[in-house]
Amino acid sequence: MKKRYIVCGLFFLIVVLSGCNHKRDIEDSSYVLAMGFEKINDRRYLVRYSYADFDSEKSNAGIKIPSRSITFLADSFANANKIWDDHESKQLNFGHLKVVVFGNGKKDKKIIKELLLHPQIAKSVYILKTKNSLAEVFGKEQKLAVSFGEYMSAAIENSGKIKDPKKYTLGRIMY
Amino acid sequence: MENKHQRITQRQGNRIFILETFSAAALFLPQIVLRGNYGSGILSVGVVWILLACYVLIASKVADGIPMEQVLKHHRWAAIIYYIRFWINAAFFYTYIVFMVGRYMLPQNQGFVIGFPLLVLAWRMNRGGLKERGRVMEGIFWFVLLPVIFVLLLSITDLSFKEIAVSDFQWKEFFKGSLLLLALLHPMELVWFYRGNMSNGGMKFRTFFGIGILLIGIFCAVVGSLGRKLTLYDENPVMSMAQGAAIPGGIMARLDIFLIAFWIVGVFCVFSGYLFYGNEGLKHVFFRGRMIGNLLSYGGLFLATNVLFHFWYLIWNSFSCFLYANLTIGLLFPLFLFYMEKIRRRKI
Repeated sequence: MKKRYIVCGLFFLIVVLSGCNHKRDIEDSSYVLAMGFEKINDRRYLVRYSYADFDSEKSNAGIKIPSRSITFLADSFANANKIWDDHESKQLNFGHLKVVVFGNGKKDKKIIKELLLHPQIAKSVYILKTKNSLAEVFGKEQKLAVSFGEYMSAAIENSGKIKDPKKYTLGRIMY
Repeated sequence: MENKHQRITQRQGNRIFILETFSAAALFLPQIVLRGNYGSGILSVGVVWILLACYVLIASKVADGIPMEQVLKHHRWAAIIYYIRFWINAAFFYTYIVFMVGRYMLPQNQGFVIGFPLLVLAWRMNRGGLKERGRVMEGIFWFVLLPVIFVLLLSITDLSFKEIAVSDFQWKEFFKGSLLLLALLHPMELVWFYRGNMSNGGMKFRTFFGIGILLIGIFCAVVGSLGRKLTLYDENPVMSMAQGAAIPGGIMARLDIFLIAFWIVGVFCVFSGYLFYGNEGLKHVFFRGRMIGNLLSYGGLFLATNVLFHFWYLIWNSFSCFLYANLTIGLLFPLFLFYMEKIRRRKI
């Protein structure tokens, strides 16, 4: 009986201690909460990452974290991440991503395929399109008390015009 | 003489069967069924549930009172075949666990770092014989299944029944999908290794009922939430389904890491099972078989970790061959073996 408890305890420890692997502070990662893609020619995209800005957090409780954005040119989603890694010391984390916005009024199939295969990106992420430019859409970000990603996802979920928000998620993109 | 380290109770036997048959197979079930039967996958799941029950009932009846180690003592060549086959199967599941942990939970870690504790745990769990293995499996049964059931229940809220329902029926597709699924459930063959050591009866009806509900539940949850196209396109649709399930009220927005952590313990049961049953054959049949078997199994897998990990995509692309080979050898070979043993016993 004692052995049984030891083995079960070991299983449990393996499961719960898996989160203790990265000895890194939360500020050492960049948590991307919203993304934008705008095709500017046949090969290039304007890519915008909106990530949690912990330095501007005012509530001191961690419940209202604003965001800020960075924009760069890339060939693909993978290329955008590579450019980030080359220039930024913080590691990208897509585990909390809420919204992806496509400019030019069209969802790009190539980028969506990349998003689908990324292990950190949840299938519950909202995929939206707009005829406006990314600069116009993300322009609101600076005035918001919460992150742009959270603001957008709350807007979709609480909108009276959208009956079934799940229809706009990555998991339903191939329906 | 009866070996007391090899006796397990009926409840332990039933729980071993559910964990070994369901845990690993369910991770691949939706995409495997749809790959063979795109239009009426749900029918294939239903039919294979019945086939599984029939197969295990036959095995339960034939192997009643005949422990596998006694059969292998008279067919030593079979012990070697089993050892090699089970080593290959264990290597597949070992690499899969290392890959999944490396991808979702502990990125930037060497395969050795993930693989070593797995092998130590498997060795520790298996060294006490079937009795100890049965006790551990009995203990972790709900530890593995409760999170799965929890995620399945959460995903029920918004399923698309149009995606699950039969849209097109063709006998050829139906047959192919059912065969692929039957091959996927090949760990059910392990029932031959512990049925003979079960006291107080064989497999229970509620075991078959439970496993069928779980298989149908996984298929409906994944296909209903992702749709058929995405299920086929996605590398890990079961995990993607868990990514979409969330605890209402914003308590937990994503459940995939939670599910992976517990499910890996389930896949570990299958992986350690293959190592255990392969080694048990050698242990009872050959002099120093236990030592040689352990060294080659645990030590061999540890040394091969990086090679297996390096060739993972090659192994993954040969998954269908792996399944069909297990279907033909795995399910029919023990029937033949036990039939020969029965004839031998009758002659005596």
